[in-house]
Amino acid sequence: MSESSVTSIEQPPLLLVIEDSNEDFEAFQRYVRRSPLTIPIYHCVDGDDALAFLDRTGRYSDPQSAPRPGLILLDLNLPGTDGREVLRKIKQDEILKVIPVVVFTTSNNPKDIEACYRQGVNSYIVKPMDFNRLKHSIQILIDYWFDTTILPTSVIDQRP
Amino acid sequence: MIQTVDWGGNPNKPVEVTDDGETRLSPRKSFEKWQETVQGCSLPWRACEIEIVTELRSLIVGVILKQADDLAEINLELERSNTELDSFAYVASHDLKEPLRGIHNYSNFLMEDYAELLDADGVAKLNTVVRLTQRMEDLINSLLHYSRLGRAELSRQLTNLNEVARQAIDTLRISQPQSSIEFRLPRPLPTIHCDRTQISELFTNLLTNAIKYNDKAEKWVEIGFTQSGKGDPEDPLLYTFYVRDNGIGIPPHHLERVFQIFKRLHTQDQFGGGTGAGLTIVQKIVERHGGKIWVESTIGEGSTFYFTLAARQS
Repeated sequence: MSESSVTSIEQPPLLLVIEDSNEDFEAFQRYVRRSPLTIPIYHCVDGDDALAFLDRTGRYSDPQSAPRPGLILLDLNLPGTDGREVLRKIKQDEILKVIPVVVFTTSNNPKDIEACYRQGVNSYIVKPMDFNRLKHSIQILIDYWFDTTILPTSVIDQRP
Repeated sequence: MIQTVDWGGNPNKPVEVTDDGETRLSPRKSFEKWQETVQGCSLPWRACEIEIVTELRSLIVGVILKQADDLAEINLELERSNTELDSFAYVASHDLKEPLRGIHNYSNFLMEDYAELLDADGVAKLNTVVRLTQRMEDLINSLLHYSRLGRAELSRQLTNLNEVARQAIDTLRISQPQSSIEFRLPRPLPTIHCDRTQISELFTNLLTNAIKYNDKAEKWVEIGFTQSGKGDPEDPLLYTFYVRDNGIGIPPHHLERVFQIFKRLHTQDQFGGGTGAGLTIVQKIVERHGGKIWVESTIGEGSTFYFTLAARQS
């Protein structure tokens, strides 16, 4: 018996992680690697680089070097162009706005949370300090977005 | 203004109506001036007087406008410095937390990845590092919370303090199912005009302390109040609340110190630890509501925390 379904067994889409702290990225990767899913990750350390990657400009002019991510994980506090500005630009761009953005940040400031949701962020997670909770949050994040939901890249043409 | 007005005749003398329905005027027979004393009416304004008053009016309006401007500018400055303080506190806490998180995570990674190489002592030491990072995070969070509390706008609403106290009590009971604690309310607490969230936190902190710093088998906490003032604008209604416990008490030379931020009277191993910010926060909340807080205590017998809150905020 087969159900008509949009997804077939295919490689999970690219996860773009925009995070300036190498230690935080290390911790994130550590837990993502434990998932049975093999999720390709691209890591940008600042807002400008992330926007160039998404817009395919500068050193990313060749679309092969910058495939469309299926999900964007965004830290708010980035050097140079701030994460909030990056979110704004993504959600105001006709092509980029369909990509779900999950803010993964230390800020629990209600103003930040509200501003992000108003901007259209898909989900807001406060980075837990506790080691076990961090592991749990990342597991849930991966399970939810890559194993439960259908990401837009599955259905939207990957043409540039 | 009393003035005498000359009329030809009484202007108020009505037209007479005779019995057969005819109307009849009765002109005066004398030519004497009929004088009316007009009292309580003002003289008409002279042109020069009008000019002077108009000028005075524009001067007054000018002064008011300037004061309004100054006030607006002060408010803007305040908002700016509040925003700056907010960003400072936020940035400071965020920037401090990042390396802290790194230390916390990497200590855990060490324990996970090098488990075979570490003996019990090694693991214990790393666990100490982890515990210290958690403590530091609590301190940073308390500092940030205290800082925001001092600057947030109060959202005043009619708050039934009885409900607030009950909620705080219920929450505490859930977190301490084993302990035997008696909460006494001699009479229902009043309803006052205040920021509900902050006052909730105030009660929670005071009640938590009352139970925490208590070594008796049967703990009790009493919440009550006295009233002063008649309730009119000159003599507003003021409540003096108290939270009394049968806990360990506070030595007289430490009574002031308990309100200092991060200042505890005990080590982290004693009485469940803590950041030492609880009473500092309570004091800040009381002050923001225009009240005062103080404590009386007897070592070994218990403490009573008193705080004043107005029924209505002006």
